[in-house]
Amino acid sequence: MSDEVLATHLQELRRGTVVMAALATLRRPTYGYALLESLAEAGFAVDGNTLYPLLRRLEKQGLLTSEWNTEESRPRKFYRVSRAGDALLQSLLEEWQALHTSIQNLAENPR
Amino acid sequence: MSTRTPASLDGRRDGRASLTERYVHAATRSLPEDQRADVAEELRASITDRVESLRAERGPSAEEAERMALEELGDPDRLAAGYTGRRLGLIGPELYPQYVRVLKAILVTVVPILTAVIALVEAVDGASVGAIVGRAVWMAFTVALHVAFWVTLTFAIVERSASDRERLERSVGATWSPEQLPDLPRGSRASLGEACTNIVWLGILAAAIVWQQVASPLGDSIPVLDPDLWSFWLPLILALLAAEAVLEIVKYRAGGEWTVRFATVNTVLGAVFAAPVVYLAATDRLLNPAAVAEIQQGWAGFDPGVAHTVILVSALVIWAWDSVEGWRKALG
Repeated sequence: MSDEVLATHLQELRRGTVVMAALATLRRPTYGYALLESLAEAGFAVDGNTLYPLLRRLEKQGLLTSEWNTEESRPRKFYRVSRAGDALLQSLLEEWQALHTSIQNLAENPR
Repeated sequence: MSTRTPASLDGRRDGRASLTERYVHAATRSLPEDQRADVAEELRASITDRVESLRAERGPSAEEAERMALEELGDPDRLAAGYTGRRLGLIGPELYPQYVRVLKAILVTVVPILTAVIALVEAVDGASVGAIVGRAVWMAFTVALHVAFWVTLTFAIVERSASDRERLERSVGATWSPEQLPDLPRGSRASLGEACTNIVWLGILAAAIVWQQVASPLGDSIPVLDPDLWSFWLPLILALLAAEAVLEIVKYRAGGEWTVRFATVNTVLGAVFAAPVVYLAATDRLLNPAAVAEIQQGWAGFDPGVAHTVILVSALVIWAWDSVEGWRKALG
């Protein structure tokens, strides 16, 4: 298996997890660039041009709330999960667990 | 949710690098008015954050760091599409297969028909062979260009119609159903019948050309076709009929399937066959003047010009029909 094939499959696998990771991180209010850095530290390499529009989309869906903070060196828009966002995160985490169990069963008991 | 935008930051600030401003402008100009300033301010802050972080990490100059930060963000139009949810593609993957099918189907039917019609009109007008061919080629090119443009435009509009997209997709036939599956290529038994029928017809046509010379239907051994044509044109036509028969045999032996190559050869051979007939009919040289005089004795109103026009039209229609049929089978 070439590194390139591995890289594309890993990328495919991780794509769907960005929303989950973002919602989980945003239980504490955070602004766009700081979120980008924490996600990268946690191993979710997501590009700014994906994350910034994603935050807007989640806000529009009522999953995030935002507030401008003008107290620091420059004004920044802080996002945090709404109640609906938290509920979605819980559903996604449950699904994640279910998938994990299923995959493990498949891998351990091949037919 | 609070979307208060600090008023002091809407405008340009002294010392703020212009590349960032230009980037923010490019990425937000297509956004709805009410979101533009807010997104712009956030984007500006994100870029500045990234620039500072890059400088702290690797220590490039301010301009270099700014350039790097913008390069990371990439094409501002792509970012804008992310904000608006606009599609990045003239015709997306859902519509593309049907787009190609519709385009092909219209091209292989409309282009040959209109080309034949224009050639016919030119021929009836008495244009030279060169002029007929030139106009026909130009017509084919123009028609193909129009078909491609309008079909593409229609599909691009459907692609962009957010409301009632499903109905629009159905109206351009973009919802696939199993009924649209092409037939399997016909087996060789069917194509054997087809090949035999076609060869028999070609043989009858060749026999008729010879027969009208040796045993005229008009009696008194007056050939219907001008006997002068035997010096070149009629042998050429007989040779072309033989070539058509050979094509039928080759096609049958190749498995009886129409391929793009066979359709091309069929169209070209048909054109080569139709061309002398059209040319001779257009210049009123096909019928034997003696035969015309003979016919006019019994039917005073007989006009050889009209007869020639009928032959000319028939030759073009048969050629167009046969070509389209070949392409239809080849492209399925």
